[in-house]
Amino acid sequence: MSRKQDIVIGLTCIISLLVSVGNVFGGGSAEEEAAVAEPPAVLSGVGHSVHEQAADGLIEEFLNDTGVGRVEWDTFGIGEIHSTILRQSALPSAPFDFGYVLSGDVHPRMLSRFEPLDDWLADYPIEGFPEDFSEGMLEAVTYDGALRAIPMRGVVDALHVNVDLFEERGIDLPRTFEEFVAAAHELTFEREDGTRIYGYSAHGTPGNIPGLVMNFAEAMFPESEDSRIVSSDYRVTISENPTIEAISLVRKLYEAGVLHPDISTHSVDDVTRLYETGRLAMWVGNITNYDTFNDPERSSVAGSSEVIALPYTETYDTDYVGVTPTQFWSFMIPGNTHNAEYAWKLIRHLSSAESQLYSGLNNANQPTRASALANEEYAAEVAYAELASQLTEAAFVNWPPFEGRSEAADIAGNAIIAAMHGDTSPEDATAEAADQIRRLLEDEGLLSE
Amino acid sequence: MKRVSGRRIDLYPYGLVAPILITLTAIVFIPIVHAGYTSFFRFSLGDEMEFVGFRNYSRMLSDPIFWNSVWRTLVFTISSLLFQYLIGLGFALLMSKGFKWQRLWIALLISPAAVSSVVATVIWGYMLGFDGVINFMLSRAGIEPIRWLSSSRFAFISVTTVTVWKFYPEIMLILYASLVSMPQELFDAAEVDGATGWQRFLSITYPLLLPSTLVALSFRMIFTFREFAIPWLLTEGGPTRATNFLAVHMYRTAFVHWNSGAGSAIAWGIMFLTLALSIIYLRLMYRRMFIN
Repeated sequence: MSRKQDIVIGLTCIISLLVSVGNVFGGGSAEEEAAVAEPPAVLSGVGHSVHEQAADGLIEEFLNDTGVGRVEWDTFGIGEIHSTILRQSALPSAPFDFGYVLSGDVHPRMLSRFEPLDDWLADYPIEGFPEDFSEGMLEAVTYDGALRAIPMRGVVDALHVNVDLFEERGIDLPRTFEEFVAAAHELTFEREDGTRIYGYSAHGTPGNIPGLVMNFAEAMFPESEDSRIVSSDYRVTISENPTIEAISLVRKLYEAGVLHPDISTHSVDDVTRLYETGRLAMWVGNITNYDTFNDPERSSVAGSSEVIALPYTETYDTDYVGVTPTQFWSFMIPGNTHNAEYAWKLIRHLSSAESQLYSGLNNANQPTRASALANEEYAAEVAYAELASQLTEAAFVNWPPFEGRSEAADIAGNAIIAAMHGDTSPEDATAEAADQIRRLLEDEGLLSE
Repeated sequence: MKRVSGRRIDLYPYGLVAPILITLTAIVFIPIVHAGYTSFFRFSLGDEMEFVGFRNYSRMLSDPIFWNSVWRTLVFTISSLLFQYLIGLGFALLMSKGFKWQRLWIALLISPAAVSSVVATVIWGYMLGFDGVINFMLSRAGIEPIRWLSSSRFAFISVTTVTVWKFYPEIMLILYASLVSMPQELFDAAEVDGATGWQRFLSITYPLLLPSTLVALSFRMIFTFREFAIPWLLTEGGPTRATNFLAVHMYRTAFVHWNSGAGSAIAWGIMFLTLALSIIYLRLMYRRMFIN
């Protein structure tokens, strides 16, 4: 090859590389600016598969009204959704236009990266906003005086029960927490063909198993201020009696084989699969799973799954129907998208009273609008509407908001799993975890004792 | 061609390697330097950065979870490498003998390397689950099911086993290429002199394999030390941090706990540890190869 050819080849490679790098780091801004005025060919969202399902049947009207080409979702697990949104909202230009965030995973500094929505609300208002939405929910997604997200999906947890298994074992549905524990034992057995049935289980990875313990602690000690890992006034209560008793109960259930042996590695999909295949008798999870569990195309226990409240201890005299940890999902727009206008129009469309009602009736999405929850058709069509409404009244949030919540859950979760496996006592495990969590709260200036 | 102090320097080679150097700079060196910079700050991705000096490093060095990760990563790396090498060497030696269907066997033996790590690990996860096919076969044999993924001891063994299964083909291929290029005359001469198979292996095969071994184990050591996909997908570093290797610990700190500054500090810690390990290994190997 001649020297001139070498030069040409080398220069071509260098120029190609530089052009590629230039495009990656923000080239084409003029093209993107021109596209703002026109409906985009694709509007991209980041969320869970249930969010895409919730919008099913509602997108076509939006596409026809706005001229947007199509709407696409990138779906992930809950943890990955938030890390993806956090990473991509820090780029010069976001590769997605709208997303979904869970109240328990959002903190103030994350909210600061979201597009403020008040101006969009002024230009393109949502009917019935804000009266039709929970004040507490809106407050949770407000940062620096500006609304940053719109609540779209309630996540009220309830106790799903396989009534066929109850009938098979000759026991009634539990009305007290003590009956629940007894039922869990009774519903743990092995069939003649070797199939093992578990009385109860949960998604018990380190970040999630604290939820299981807090549910039990709340059920056993409903009047205690110490049934959380971190109380609402930022005291570390993991090493207090209610939590230790709850962890001890979890350990007994695990040793008795009531809880699945792989509970510490199970995701929510693993547990729902266990339930849908008839190998799990009871599970505390999102109340809207009732529709999935009773869908014959997706579940082998269709027609056998009911939903009730996880009951309190028999000594607790209350009008509340049962233990209800709650969270909610919200729509958000990244502050660095070029399609904020059309993302807002989509959110506005999906947040309308009609869309929320449609989604609640057809797509197993629990509405966040009071009018949808109280709608007669919704109450008539959705089997769990009344229970959802009752549970919402009794709902509590497991964790107070703070940046180190994820790390605190991890610390607590590993301590719980160690105690559950018998590697250490609940007292020793929680004492060490308490010290580590206190340091986290001290760093943020939140610790109170 | 350029003249510098009377010497002619040929610039064309530099021009031709420039694209890859620029690429490496952009995707490797700049991120490394950026991570080093951010390790002195407290921030979450996309957030304001607050300078904290060496706080991330001092916390990392005083964190028992970090040292637990270091210890477990070292044990994982050494044990995994040992088995990767032994199995890879064994299969390479077998495949270097000519026999019927040899090429088919080679294809089958290197097939783990052709499967995506994520896909393979997810399938292993189903197999190793308490209700999975491995426990099913054990129960048919009258053996109690084992918590392959939810017991601290067995989770470590499971992750190591899957890692060995996935990556022994890389070592096997490198050693196989070296074996088939060895001069047959050496072995013929040794055989004529009465050397046994084991003596031929120790005196001829193994010394000639040392350069390939150096290359194979160097690369595998670095990648095994940084292994993330297999432990994360199988156990997410659990149970109770039994498989919380350094890469998993770094990912969890940066992307689950959203502490990107501390995550960057751990990343640099991994880099220095990898460098130290590599230096120790290379010095030992060079000493063995050229001095002993």
